[in-house]
Amino acid sequence: MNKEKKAVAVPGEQLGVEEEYMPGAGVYLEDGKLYSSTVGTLDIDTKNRRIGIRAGNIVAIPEVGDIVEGVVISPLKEDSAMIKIIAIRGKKNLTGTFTGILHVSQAAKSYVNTIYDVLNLSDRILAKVVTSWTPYQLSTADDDLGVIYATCTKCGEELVLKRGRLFCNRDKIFERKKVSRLYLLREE
Amino acid sequence: MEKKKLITDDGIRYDGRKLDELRPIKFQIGTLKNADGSAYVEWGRTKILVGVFGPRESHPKHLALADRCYIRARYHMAPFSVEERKSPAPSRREIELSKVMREALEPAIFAEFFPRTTIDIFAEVLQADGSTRCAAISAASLALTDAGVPMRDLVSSMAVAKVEGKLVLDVIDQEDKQGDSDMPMAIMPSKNVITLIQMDGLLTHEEFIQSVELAKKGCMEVYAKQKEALEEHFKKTMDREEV
Repeated sequence: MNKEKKAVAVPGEQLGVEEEYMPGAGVYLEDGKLYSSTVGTLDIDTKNRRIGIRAGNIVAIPEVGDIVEGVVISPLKEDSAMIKIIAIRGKKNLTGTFTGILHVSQAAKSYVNTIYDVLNLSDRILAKVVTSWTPYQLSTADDDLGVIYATCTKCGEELVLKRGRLFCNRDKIFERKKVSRLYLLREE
Repeated sequence: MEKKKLITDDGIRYDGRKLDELRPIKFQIGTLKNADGSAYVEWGRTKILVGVFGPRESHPKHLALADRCYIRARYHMAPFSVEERKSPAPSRREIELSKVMREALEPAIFAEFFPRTTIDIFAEVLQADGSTRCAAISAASLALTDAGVPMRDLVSSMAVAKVEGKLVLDVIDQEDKQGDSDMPMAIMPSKNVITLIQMDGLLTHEEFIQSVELAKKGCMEVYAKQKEALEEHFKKTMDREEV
C-alpha cells in the first residue's frame, strides 16, 4: 500500500492499514485503515512502526500541563482570580483568548491568606493548566510560575524585582506577590 | 422578458461550455492574515472568501457543548455581489445556507477533540454567479484544514441542474433561474459519503440517479483542485520556514 512515498498528505488520504503502522500525530484509524487528518509531510518511524504527519499548522488550545501566559482580569472574590489566557508556551499564539481561574489554594506552595497577597488586577502571570476545559483551573505554585510583570497599584509605575520582592521606584514601597523566577524587570 | 435559449442544438451552453464541463476553478489558501485559516475561491465568476477562527472559547458561553466543539457557520453575500444591491442584513436564504454549510462540513470535522469550544466559519460572497453554496463549502473545508483543524476528509461540492430537459454540471446563475431543477451536492470524496444534498424543482427518479452520478464526477474534479491547492500552499510555507 502506498509504495511511492508521497511528499504531502491531505485530509482523508489513506496512508496504510492498521496492520502496518500505529497511528501517530495527525493520523486516525477508521475501519482498520489509517487516514491523514491534516495536511503535512509523512513521518514514518520504522522502529516503532508508527506513522504520523508533520503538519504545517496545528490548532492550539490549552491542555493539562501546559504553561500559559495570562493577564489577571478580575480578582473574583478573596479566594480566586479570573485570568485571561493569551498565549501558550511552546505553541503558536492563540488568536482568541481562553478564561482561566486561579484559586488561592493553587497559588503558592505555602499558605496564602487572600488572592491579593499573590497577584492583583492587570498583572501578567505564568501559570500551569490543571483541568482540561474552560474555565481552566490554573496553578502558580512552582518557582517558575507566578507574576512575570506588574505595575504599582498606587501609581502605575513598573515594578522591579529587588531582593526577591517587587519594588516601586517612585513610591519606594514593596508589594507582596507570588513572583516568578522569570520576572521580567529586575534591579541589578 | 423573453427567454434566451440556454443550450444550443449541439449541446453547447450559454457560456460556451459542454454539458458536463466545469467552469475554471481556482483555490487560494492562507489569504487572510488575521484568521486562523482562510481560503479564497474563484469559481468562474463566483468569488468567495472564507475565514476560519478557532477552536476558541464559546461566546455566549451557553452555546458550549460538553462533549464536542460547537461549529458556527455564517454565509453572507456582500451588497455588491449581485447586480441589484443586496441588503447586507441576513436574509432567509442566507440563514438557510449558513445552516446547510455547517451541516455539510460537520461530519468532516473531529469536533469531539475540542469540547466546550467554538469553531467559527465565515464565508463572504464577493461576487455571485451561481453555485455559491458549493464554492463556499469547498473553500471552507480548505480554510479549516489551513487552520489546522483535524479533519476526517475534505468536503467537495458541486451542483447539477436540469435545463431545457438536459442535465448540466456546475450551474451558473442564468441556468439556475431559467432551469427546471437545481441539485447541489457535497461529498467527502475519499470516504464516498454525501454530506449535503438539496433539490429544487422536479426530477424523475432516473434523472435523480443520473444527477447524483454527474454531481459526484464534478465533486471529484473539485477535489483534485483542492488537493493541488493544499499541496502547493503547504510546500510554499515549508520553503518559507526553511529560508
